[in-house]
Amino acid sequence: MKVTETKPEALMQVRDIVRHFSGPRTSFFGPRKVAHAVNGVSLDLYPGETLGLVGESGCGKSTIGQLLLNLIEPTSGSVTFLGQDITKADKTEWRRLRSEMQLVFQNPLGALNPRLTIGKQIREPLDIHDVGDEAGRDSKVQEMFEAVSLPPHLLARYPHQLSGGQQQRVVIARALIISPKLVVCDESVSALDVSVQAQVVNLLSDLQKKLGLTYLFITHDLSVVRHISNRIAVMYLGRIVELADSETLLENPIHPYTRALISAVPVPDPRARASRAVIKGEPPNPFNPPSGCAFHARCAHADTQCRTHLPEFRAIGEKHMVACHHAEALVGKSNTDAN
Amino acid sequence: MSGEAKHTTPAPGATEAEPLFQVRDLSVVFDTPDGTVQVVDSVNLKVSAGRTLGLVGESGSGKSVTCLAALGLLASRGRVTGGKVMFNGRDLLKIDDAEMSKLRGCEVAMVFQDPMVSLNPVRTIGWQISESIFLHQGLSRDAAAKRTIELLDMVGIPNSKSRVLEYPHQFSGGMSQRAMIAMAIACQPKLLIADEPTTALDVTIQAQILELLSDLKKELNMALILITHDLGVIAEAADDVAVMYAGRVVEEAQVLDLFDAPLHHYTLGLLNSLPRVDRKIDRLSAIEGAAPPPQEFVTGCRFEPRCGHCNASCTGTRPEFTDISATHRVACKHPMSVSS
Repeated sequence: MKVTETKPEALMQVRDIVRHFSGPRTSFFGPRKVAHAVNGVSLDLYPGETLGLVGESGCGKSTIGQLLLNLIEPTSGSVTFLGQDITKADKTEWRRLRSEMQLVFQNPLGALNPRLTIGKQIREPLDIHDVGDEAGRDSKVQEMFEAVSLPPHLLARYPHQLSGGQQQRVVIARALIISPKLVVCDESVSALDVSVQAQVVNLLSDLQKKLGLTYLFITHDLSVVRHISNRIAVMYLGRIVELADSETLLENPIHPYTRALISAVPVPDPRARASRAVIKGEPPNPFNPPSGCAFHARCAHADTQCRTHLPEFRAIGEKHMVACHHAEALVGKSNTDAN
Repeated sequence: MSGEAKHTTPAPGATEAEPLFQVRDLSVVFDTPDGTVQVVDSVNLKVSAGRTLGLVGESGSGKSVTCLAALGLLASRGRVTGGKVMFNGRDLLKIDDAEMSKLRGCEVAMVFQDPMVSLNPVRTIGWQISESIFLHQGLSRDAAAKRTIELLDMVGIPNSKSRVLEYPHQFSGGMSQRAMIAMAIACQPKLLIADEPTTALDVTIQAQILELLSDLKKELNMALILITHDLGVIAEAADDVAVMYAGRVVEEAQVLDLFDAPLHHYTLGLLNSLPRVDRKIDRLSAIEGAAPPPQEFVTGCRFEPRCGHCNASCTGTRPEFTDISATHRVACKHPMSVSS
């Protein structure tokens, strides 16, 4: 895949990354089954953008997040960050690079140390990466605390004394205090109540503008992703099946899976009930992936070609990539037309 | 089919008939080491046969506790301190444990959020479903096994004959939830309470389960109470809606009225803070602050600290319900104007 010259230089380039997990043995002396959690994904992340990565559980979206931060090693493929292949970086290089990338998980209480005060936890990254002097660190903690809109008296509290929304703000403050360039948000707002979720989503976009952050926003929630992302990638069984600008992807989706996913999201409008097309079946087992296009068993457009040949991930129109044999034929046609 | 046609309006005269299930002024307290906290405060709910009541609220609003208390399923720390729970002319708070056990799982059934936790991991799916039939309907083991296969077919589990012999870990999340629903409808209950039945599931599976619940409701003419935090699910599946906040119901309406003209500022705030897949919103209008924990519940309007329309009259006394129409009422002293 070539990056055209007009595009700004990518902050991170992911090329044909593959990650297998081995499962239980098929028999006592038999071979282990292999799950293809991520099966050849290529992505570019540009400075200052938010790339939304959506898909159902088990599609490999969280594995991608971990591969990008080198928390697990890829089976093959490369991840280039700031011009350096992080999968091959040695310890000292990696230590430096690591401070440029941070992760915000779903469950804030699980990510915070129950025995440390909030203030100490937010300060910890500065201590580890040896940033500034003592006084400078303290004032930076206060500054960051203010940036995530938390009242200063909470600095001396422990995680369990905070509400879920406050805890997630603490996790965000801790992730951002060493000024990373890339933040991977893995279901960061999924566990929060709607009214608090909106606050945290707004906070994340404000901080992005202020600090020029790049987000990889991993979620199963298409409504949130539409709101926060510039571009969206849809994953199905370890592969990206569609990638486009948020508006294009949600207004004119091409891949039948993307269409099904969008129509399955409940819309808070009781008058929209009739327009739903429910897809049958469940995602296939990654230990036993179907041949050809992984979606063919649930797809209304599937034919022999889909059952035998893997569709190529290719450009359909400007900045719109789709992996479907029928992509050209589906442009401008609704899912129901074909049925 | 037009959107309107999918909303069932009550039959004429239905409002006068006694609803199948009615919660009246139910209050629940929990005993904690730090004292007694009231988590449900004089809640009223009602649902008739063939209709779906959506009970919506954020975590800690008391929606699950209300239903658990009504069925006598409260944890040992919880106590009902007042109110009535009328089901089919009987007060469920007055009947003894044996009668309650007979009723639960038979005339009234419940489906919970996490099917994997609700199922017994060391028994086959078939065994667990037929147990309920065996206990409540007095069928022989053979007849119960036959009925189990019928039920699995009804909830859309393919290859039901072989899958009855499988264990819960061999079922996916969606299939487990279908099995739970099969267990719940085994005795053709008159009332089904579904507590966040789709929250742990993927959206495509959620859509399937909601469709299944709505089909079953029609087929069996059940009353359905759907507890959820997701207004999208409410819009999708409910006929009537009760919005709960901090242990109280703050607004009740039919689903179209609630979404067209919400009256409580909390309902409106909740609707406005939703990110939507079907339209572009530049900035979400979040409600400031967070819902109070039960220890900090006040007697006055509990939304007052987060509300932009309150004044001195909102604190101190509980806002009474104002009837806007026969089906729409709101507990707010300064509701959104009815005309707008």
